[in-house]
Amino acid sequence: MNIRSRFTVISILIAIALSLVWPNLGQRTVRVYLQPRLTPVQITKSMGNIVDYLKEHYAGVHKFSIAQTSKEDYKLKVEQDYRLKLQKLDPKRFDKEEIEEAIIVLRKERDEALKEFKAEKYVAIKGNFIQTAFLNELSRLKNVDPQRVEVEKMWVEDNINAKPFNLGLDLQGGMNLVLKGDFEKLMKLLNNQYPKSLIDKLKKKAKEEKTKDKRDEAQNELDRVLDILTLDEKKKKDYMIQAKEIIRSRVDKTGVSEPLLRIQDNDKIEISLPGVANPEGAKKLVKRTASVNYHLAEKPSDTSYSAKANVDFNKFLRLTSEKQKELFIENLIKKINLPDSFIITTYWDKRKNDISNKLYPVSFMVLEAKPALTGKDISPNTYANFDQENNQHIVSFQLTSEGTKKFADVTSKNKGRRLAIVIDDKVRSAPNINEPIVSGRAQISGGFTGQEAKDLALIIKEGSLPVPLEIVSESSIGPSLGKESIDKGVKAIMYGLLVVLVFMVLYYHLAGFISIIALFVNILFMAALLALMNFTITLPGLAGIVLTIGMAVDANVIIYERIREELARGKSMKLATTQGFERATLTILDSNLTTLVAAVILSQFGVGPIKGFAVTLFIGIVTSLFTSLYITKTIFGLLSFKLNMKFVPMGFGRYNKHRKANA
Amino acid sequence: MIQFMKLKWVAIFISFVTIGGSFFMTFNEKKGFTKDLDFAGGIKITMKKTDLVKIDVLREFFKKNKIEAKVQLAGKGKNSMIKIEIGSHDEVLLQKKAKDSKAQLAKLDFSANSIEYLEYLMITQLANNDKTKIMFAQNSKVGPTFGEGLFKQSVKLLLITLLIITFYVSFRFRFKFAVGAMLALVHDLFVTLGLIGWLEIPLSIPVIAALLTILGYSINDTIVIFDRIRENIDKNENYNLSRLINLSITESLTRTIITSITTLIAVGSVYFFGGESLEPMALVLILGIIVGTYSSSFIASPVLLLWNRYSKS
Repeated sequence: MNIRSRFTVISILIAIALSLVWPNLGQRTVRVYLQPRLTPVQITKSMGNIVDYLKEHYAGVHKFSIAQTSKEDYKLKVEQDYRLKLQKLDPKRFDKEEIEEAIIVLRKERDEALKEFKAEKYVAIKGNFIQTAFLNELSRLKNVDPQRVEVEKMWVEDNINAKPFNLGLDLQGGMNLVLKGDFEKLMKLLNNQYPKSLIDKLKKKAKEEKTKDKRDEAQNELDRVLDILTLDEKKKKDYMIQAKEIIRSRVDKTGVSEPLLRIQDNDKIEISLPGVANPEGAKKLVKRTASVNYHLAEKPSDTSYSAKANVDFNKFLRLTSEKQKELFIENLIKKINLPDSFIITTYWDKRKNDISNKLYPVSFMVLEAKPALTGKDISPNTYANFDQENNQHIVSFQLTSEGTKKFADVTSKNKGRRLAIVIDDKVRSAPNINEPIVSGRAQISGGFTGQEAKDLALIIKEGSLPVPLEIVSESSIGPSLGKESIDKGVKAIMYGLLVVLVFMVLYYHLAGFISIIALFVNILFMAALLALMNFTITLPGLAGIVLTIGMAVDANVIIYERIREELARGKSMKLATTQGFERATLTILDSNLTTLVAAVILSQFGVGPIKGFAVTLFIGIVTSLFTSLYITKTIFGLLSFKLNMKFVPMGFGRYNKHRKANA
Repeated sequence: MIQFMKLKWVAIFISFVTIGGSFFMTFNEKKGFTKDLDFAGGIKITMKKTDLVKIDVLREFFKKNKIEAKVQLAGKGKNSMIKIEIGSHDEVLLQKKAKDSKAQLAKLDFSANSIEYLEYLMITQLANNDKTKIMFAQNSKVGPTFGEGLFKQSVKLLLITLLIITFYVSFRFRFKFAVGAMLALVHDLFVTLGLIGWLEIPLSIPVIAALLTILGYSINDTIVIFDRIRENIDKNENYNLSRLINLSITESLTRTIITSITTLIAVGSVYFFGGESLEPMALVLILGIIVGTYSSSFIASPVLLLWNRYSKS
């Protein structure tokens, strides 16, 4: 390849790398919108609160102002909403007709929305290094709509998939939890649920029942129970994966963005929540057991309580915070004189034609406080199903032997009453009891989508989490501390770089300057690759990058020393360059490949932080090989072949004398 | 040409003395290696220093509550922080106490775990129940068994790396080269570990990462010299290995020195400016780079020479 095409390749690569790291270099803008349905007074006050909060914590770091959406913004938003809703029309979940109908409704909605332009106020924040932690922090401020803390996308993000760096929790603040599956406890629980007496009974049945069908049935049941009671490694792993998914869905529901969940050593789950400043809340969330309970509704004769409560339901809807809602219900209980044996719950349902599948509170419902049936009464034999007759997704389940008895009892004694299914404190459906159910088989319907039915089946399946979890390690880092660490790390890199630069120029003169160009390109490429791989940069990783800077110079040093040696033997610049590179290439490849092999292995075997470190090392080696063997070579080629320089200044030393004597 | 190989026994002797001496100091004077929270388990808390939260106040507080805690000042001036470290034994006790006082904790909206229990104690005893006065800037807790598992894994990782490098070098060079390279790596590992123990640098995950980097750096350095030796062997048919090694080390000496200087500059900058949390890691890297550079010339090469001699006779 001639020098011109080499330069073209290098320029293209540099351009790509620059655009990949661009989101980190430029300033970014965040827009914070408020929740819908606030009064103008509330809006002004909340905006003021947000700005005050920012002033207190981020003065001098970010710039902020209150702004209003323009007509274009509004148009864009409407279009975007429309597109988002269209995407949700999954052909797997809806029939063709349903989809066509929905599209018509959506189009109409969009056209109407486009006609009436409403300016919306938002807080605009501008600054460098805006990270997820900061966004999460913003989304938890009062009256902020967590779904609408928006980062304005840069052109490169939209078009070439450039992303801002992922910083580790040590750099951006947040909390990290490691949970371990407590399998001993699980075994204890299972042994309680399936005592030895039950197994013996089943064994006996499997042998002594009269008909073959019954024997087979007992045998099947026995196999099922024995299967539940055996815990092998594969099952443990499956349980951990299930637990991880359950926790992920819970975390997702809170609006914390970019949570990181991963399984370690098959029995631990590591959870990283950037910007979560309330460790206790997060812990509750993670360890909470999503509950499914059955409650009997009040007898039709004393429906009065529900009716009385529902008088104030519209007032309740206007409340925004959870605390306010709790307080409201407490007061309501006093107001309608509700006896202790009853509770007020909220019935939730989806809206017609709303494909976002969001649940909305519909009314209050007064239920008996004592659950008629709890999640514990449901056996793990639960699965999502499709009810052909009524054309809906359902969750079918089998009750435990005790649960079957309870259920038969309740359903036979309370004919005509409603039995409410309460999932996570929300009433999702409340069918009438028409006939006693003695088989122990039942189903839940609540207008679920297929995915929701699956999720619910999963939650019910094991009561909640498939295995009890205990916290074995936790840490939380305040956002300001993280910011300090970034500043220090960046400072360390800058100083290190500067001194290395000065040293190289003093020692190798022009050649030293070339190695500096190579070094900068090297850092740029490294950053681009890290951004491309969506790699999480941590404090040790930052140190790794600094080290790579030091080591990256090594390849250039090896080359220069070789060229100087060749020059010292009295060879011409051209010959010395060619031979010097030839000799040095082998050495550089050999020494770097050894480290590369180690880095690859480490990245396969290593635990979290070490793995990250190995990846940094790997990338550093690859980019420094490229910059020294390709870029430095190209520049040297340009100098000695194209520009015909008889002498490229490479520092003081022996070789100079030879050089002058030869000339 | 410098006569490096004349110094081989001196060098080997110095290395043995350093390893022996530093390990002796570690285990006799310092009661063994100190492990950081990552591996030992326990609680680590960082608080901003205020008029209320001061070193002596906190020391007094822990003494009164019979909690064994290390209280240290970190950083200077306005940004100074107080670091509190509690071992896993006391952490377990605190956890137990927290469970016992669950009701009291709940009144102030705290949950029953050791960290919140500490926060609760400080608020009630030091701050007149004013929650805003006591703030933990950072806190972490690691269970004792968890740390142990992580430690074992890290040791395993170091061994795997060593083996793989040896395997690779014997594949690329000849086996005698691999022996030299591996022993040099083992040497680096032991000397650095000894110094870590002697200087009481707590073992943590970043320190393990630093040790792994040192292995990478050292093998890099060794291979550059070995490469030169191999090249010189190919050039001369009748050679004296000792002379060739001396020649090769001398020829690559400038490179060895310059690379170690630039790397030391970079790591030194992390040590001085990178902040307190990176200090241990940077210090280990500085030590390791010096040791790794030394071992390529003074351990790897002599071992190659001796192995060559021994295996022939």
